[in-house]
Order: sequence, then C-alpha cells, then structure tokens
Amino acid sequence: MTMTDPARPAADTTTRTGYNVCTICDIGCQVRTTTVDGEVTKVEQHDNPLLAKNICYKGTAAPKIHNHPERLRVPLKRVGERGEDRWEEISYDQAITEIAERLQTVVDTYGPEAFGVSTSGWNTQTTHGLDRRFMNLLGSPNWTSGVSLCAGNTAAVSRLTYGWYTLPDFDNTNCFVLLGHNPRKHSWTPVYNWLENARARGATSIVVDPRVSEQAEKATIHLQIKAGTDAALLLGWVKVIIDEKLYDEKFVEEWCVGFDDLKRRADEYPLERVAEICGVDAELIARAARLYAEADGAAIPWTPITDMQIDSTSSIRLQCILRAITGNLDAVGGERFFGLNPGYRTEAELQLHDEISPEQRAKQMGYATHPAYTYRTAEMLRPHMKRVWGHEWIDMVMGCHMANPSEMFRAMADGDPYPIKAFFTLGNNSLLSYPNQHQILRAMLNQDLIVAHEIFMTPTAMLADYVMPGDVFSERNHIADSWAWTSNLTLNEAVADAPAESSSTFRFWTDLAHAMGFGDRFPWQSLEEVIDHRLEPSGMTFEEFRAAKYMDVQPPKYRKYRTTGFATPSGKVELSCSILEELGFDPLPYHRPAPAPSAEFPYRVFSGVREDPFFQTGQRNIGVLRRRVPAPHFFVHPDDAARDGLVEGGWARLETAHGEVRMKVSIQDSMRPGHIRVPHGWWYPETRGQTDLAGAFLSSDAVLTVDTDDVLDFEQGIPHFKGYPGRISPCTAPEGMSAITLGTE
Amino acid sequence: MAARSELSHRLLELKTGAMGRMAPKVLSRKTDGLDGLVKKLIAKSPPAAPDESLVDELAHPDDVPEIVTRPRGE
Repeated sequence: MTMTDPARPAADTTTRTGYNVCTICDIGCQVRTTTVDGEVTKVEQHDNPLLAKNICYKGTAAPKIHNHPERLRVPLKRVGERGEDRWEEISYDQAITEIAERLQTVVDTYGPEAFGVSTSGWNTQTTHGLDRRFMNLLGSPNWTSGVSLCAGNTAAVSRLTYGWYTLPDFDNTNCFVLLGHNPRKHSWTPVYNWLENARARGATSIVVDPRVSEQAEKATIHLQIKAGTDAALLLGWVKVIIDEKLYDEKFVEEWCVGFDDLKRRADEYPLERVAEICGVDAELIARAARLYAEADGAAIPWTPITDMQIDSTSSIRLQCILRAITGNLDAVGGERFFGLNPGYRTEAELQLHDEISPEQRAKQMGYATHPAYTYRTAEMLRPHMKRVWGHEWIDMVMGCHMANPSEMFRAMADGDPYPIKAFFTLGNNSLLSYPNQHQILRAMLNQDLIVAHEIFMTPTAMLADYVMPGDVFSERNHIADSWAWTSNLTLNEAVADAPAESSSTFRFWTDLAHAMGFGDRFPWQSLEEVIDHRLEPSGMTFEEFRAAKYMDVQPPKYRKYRTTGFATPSGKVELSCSILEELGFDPLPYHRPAPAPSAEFPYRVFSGVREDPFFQTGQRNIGVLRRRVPAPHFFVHPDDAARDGLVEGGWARLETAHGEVRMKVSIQDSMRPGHIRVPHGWWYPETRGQTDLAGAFLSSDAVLTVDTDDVLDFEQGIPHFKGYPGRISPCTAPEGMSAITLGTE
Repeated sequence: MAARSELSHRLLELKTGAMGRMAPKVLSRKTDGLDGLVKKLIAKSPPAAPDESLVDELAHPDDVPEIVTRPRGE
C-alpha cells in the first residue's frame, strides 16, 4: 500500500476561485483560477494591482491544458518493445511496487550511482527537494535538469564569483543590458513588464543580439554581434571601463580581488580586436560600455543566451564582473542579493546532502571533468555559504550541485565511466531537451528501467517502462519560493480535482521511498504537511499563510556585504576566481572561438530559441496555442534566402556536421546576414503512431548539436547552441505532417 | 555608477526601504486598516489595471478544436 493521500479537494459542485502560480512556463506568474464542478474553466489576471499584468496567453490557455482529452490519467506500463508506444493501464500501487523492485535490482547490480534523474522543477513544482532526498538516501549523485543549461548554471557560476546569484533591482534601475534575451508580452512576461516600466521612467537599454529583436527595436543601443561572441564583447567593455576609469574605484579597492589580473586580461582585447571578433563597430561598443557604466544604477538581467555557449562560464562571469566593478552589486537600481526567506525552509535543507557520502558525491557525472555546477564546487563553497547565508547547502535555481547531462547520457549509452541503467524523467521531455539527441536515444534504449512522470505522452515518455500521470498547478496546494532566486513566497491553491490517479511528484517520491524501505525519512503524508514543515520557522501553517497573504515579500536590504562579506574563499568578489584556479581552470574570463563557418557549412546557426505559444517542448498539442504558431520556422535574412533558393513559407533542410532537421522558412529583414535562427523543442504530437516517436527527430534542434569535448564549455561542460556552422537548402515537407502543420487545415 | 556618493546610496536605500515595507501590505489579503489603505493608493496609480489590448490578446476562441493523436492509418 502506498502511504500518501492523493491530497485532492473534496468533490465540488460549485464555482470556486483560487490563486495560483502558473507553471505553463518557468516564470511563475500569479494568476486567478476559476473552477466549476471541480473543473478549471478560467485562468485570468490576479485581482491584486501589483500582480495583475503578470499573465500571458499561455497562462489563460491553462484550462485547455488541464482538461485536455489526452491528458494522462492512470499509470501506464509498457507492453511492446521500448519506444513502440504500446501500453497497459495499471494501478498506482502496482506501478510503485514494480518500479521499486526494478530500481532495487539496478542498485544491487550496478550500485546506487547507476540511477539517474532528469527533471524540470518548473513543470513539477511540488517536489520540495524530495527527489534529491530520495537519491541521497539511496546514494546516487546523478540528478540533472534543464537548468544545467538555462539559469541554474548561471546561478552556480555566479556563486563562484560573489557567492550568490543576483536579480536586477528592476523597480529602480536606470539602464539595462539584454544579452540576446528578448522578454516579450507573452514570454517572460513579468520581466517584460519590469523593463517596460523602467523605460517609461526613462531608463536606457542596450541590446546585444544578432537579430533586430522586439527588445532591440526599442533599445538605446543595439549591438548586432555575430552569434556566440558575447564574451569577447564583454571583455571589450571591461577594457573600456577600466581604461576610462569608469569603474567604482572604492568598491573595487575594498571588495574585489584580482583587479590587476583582470586588467591584464582585458588588455588582450583592444576594441579593434573585439570589433573584428564580434562584427560590430568599435566606437559603438565603447559607447555601450560607457552608457552601462555611467548609469546611476544599471542591471544585466539573466539571459539564456550566454548559458549555452562554448565559453559560457566566462560570459556569465564577465556579467558578474561588470556588475561588481561598476558598483552595482546589491545596490539600489543595480542587482540585488535577495538572500533566503527566514520563514521558509529551503529545498536544500530537505534534500539531505550530508546523507550521501563524499565518495558517492565524487562519482557525480562532471565532478572530475566539468565541475562548475557539480557537488565539487558546492563542497568548496560550503564554509563560505555557512558564514554569510547560514546554510552550507543552498540550491539556487536548482542548479548548484547537478550532474552534467552530457556525461550522464554518455554513461547511459556506453557505460563510460560507469553504467547508468535506471533513468527517471519528471516533467522533462529529456530526449529533446539536451544536445546530441541521437546519443540520448541510444542512452534510453540501453536502460533497464525508465520511468516518466508526465501530464501528456511525450517522445521521452514513449521510451519509458512506466509512465506516471502528473498533476497541474490548479490541483495542488503549494508555496513557491522561486528556488532561492528571490526570497518571495507565493501562494498556490488547489481548486480542482486531479483526474483519476494523477498526482504530484511529492507523492511519487514519498511512496517510492516507503516501497524501498526508507519511508521513515519521508514522514509527511500530504503536500500540506510538508509545506507546514517548511513554513515552521515563520510560525505559520499553510492554511494560515493562505488566509493571510498572496505573497510574502521581505523588505529590501542593500549592500549586506558590508557586514557579512561575500560567500567566497576570499570573502570578496573574485574577479580572478580562486575556485576555478584550484580546479585547474583559467581563473580569468576569456573568449574562446566557436567552430567557424566553412565553405561546406557557411552559416552561423543559433538554436534553443523560445516561441511565445510554447514553453520548451510543450504545448504543441494545445489547439489555441499551436494555431498561433502551427509549424516551426527557420529565420533567414532575405539575401541568404535569395542565394539559397528559399521561399517564404516553403520547407527547408538545415544540416550540420551532426544532423539535419526540416522546418518552414521565414524570411526576415531583422536577421543578421549569414545567420539562421532555430526555435527549440519541436515535435508533432498529432502524428503519434504515424511517425517515429511523434516526429521527435524531424524538427528538434537537439538533433543539430553534439556534446563532444571540443565544443563543450571547459568549466561546465555546456554545449554551444549560439553560432555553430550549418547549411540550408529547400526541401519538401517531412512525411506524415498534419494539415495544421502544412497550413491546409 | 562610479559617481554615486555614500550619501546618495543611503538616501536611495532609505527611500526604497520605505517603499519595500509597503509591499507586504499590498500583497496581503487584508482589505481594512493600513493594508486596505495602501491597496487603495496603489490601485489609483499606474500601472494598476491591465490594458484593454492585453485583455484581447489573452482571450482564446472557444471553437478551436484540440489537437489529438490521429487514429492509426488516417
């Protein structure tokens, strides 16, 4: 018998309204949900004036998602060959029992490190760190997530420089810099609103993007660089700021180490060299650097673009360095260190990282080779985190002690350096979410056990042995803490019934722990109990929180470092990073050229791009969203299209040395010539049963990229998605496309 | 930023600190007392209500069919 209650509200025959944190994407907007007879009928703007604008059309489509006719409702067990997509329905208890038995067999045969997990906290929300808790008690360090190449890695690398991860002080900033990032009304909506408000106050903006994006059109300065040259550009900025003494000399003198070394490194990047690398006028680069440095409060918001480059660690560190030397760290209008909310236990506290032995931690994939966001750096930061923030283990944006996904999939596929033979994927369409999709497929075909926890059947779930039906935000109680990025706590209320046997990841991990014999370490029997436990320091229960507030917001405190120092080995901002040096890497940031275009592959391709109707690989099965973008499109410049015979709306084949995909063509003046923009995560759910894995290999950008060491960022092992060589040519549509994709509906 | 004096830092921190102490009042569920007063003040100053164009953009037609798996062979 499983231990937990499904934790669903009583059957409801009336209209109810509740407040939720939308999880259709990762930004976490606060919305209001209405249900009738227990079914979601409307998701709309919050009625609190501070929160009302934070909603997009994905959020208002949530009823279509939550009530979709093909939503998974009961556990499924594979009956055909792996990937054949044939299933039998089984009970939840049977699924948990069999999964526990088969996982135990893998652990007994290969060791606990042979168990790997990939997840997306944005999609599952309610895990409360119990996945890591389960793994730590079992002895496996091999947990990874999409945040390894999107935001989580930024958090981990930022900590190497100043011991925390910042968020812009948007309400007070006078200048912001967007490195390829393009917040729009319906993508990263709260950030878009913050930026619009800042502009309305008179803030200037600098946009760095190979494309004239929506944000670039509004920018004070647009630097239309060659894709993937951000680190060189930022080194040029550092040189201008140092040469022209635009830095905060007092802050640098009192709170930074390694300034002279940084200056020497920046001297290697005179503007003429930077202009040549980036393909942008040198004087424009200097003007942008001055605009940023001279603003009375300036911010560089997080960007996914530098999370996915061959010199990602340097690019991220350069943003940290610019914030520091210009005096914008934890300053009004600059970038805040929110710290932790003292009233809410962190997920890391529940994860029990001291329960897994140091020897097992050292087996984590990436620990020895690309350690920047693994346990290895987290271990080195422990005393400093404790000194400044009061906790040794702090998991910011879930990204601060992860396994490297490329190494995990290699181990799953080839047993190198040791086999991983059981793989759980939760709220994460893993097959399409990391580079080298062909290797991920080989990896999954080589598993003894795969479990997927999902709300819809995905190509990844089709490869599983068991598919567990997940819940959605309207069906669960939760308090969202933004994974320690901020100290805000936000209410999420269950207002609908989860259908049939659908349930939370909390329930899954808790019941699995009981089935495997360590349920005594999972004492909470409902989501409300675990939330009460986390809220205990506040003196409130979940019900009391719900009755009192929509959000808990801590009053801002700036320049806290003056009393605590920074959580680094030196206690200061490490412009020259002692941890990277100790690990054998260059302690200073650098530009590393990506593989250059050639006669065979003349374009610079950038992929991993988000489209408004979709979050990552999701929502292609939602009618009202899919019809806004029915098919994937390459963006190409008119001159390139003319030369290669591409026509608007026609199909084209994009090839790299590693794979090919097909999409339609969109000819755009906004593109920098010689560049191709590729949207992320395309597959065709409606073709399930008619194309292999519902078209997972036809248009997915993960097919185009590899993750061999020559194209990985040295420190993190992150692949290069922003400017790799490719070629494009006209073609016909793939076989089996639906009328909606073809535009003949 | 290099030009901001210590006095400027402190004045800005004082101002934002005062504003920051109001935020929990706005984000509470209480509608009376100081919380209610602060909510009323905030509601009067932009950006309070969503604009009309956003309302239109957020709407979805009711008659759009859901995308489902096609039966095999169709």
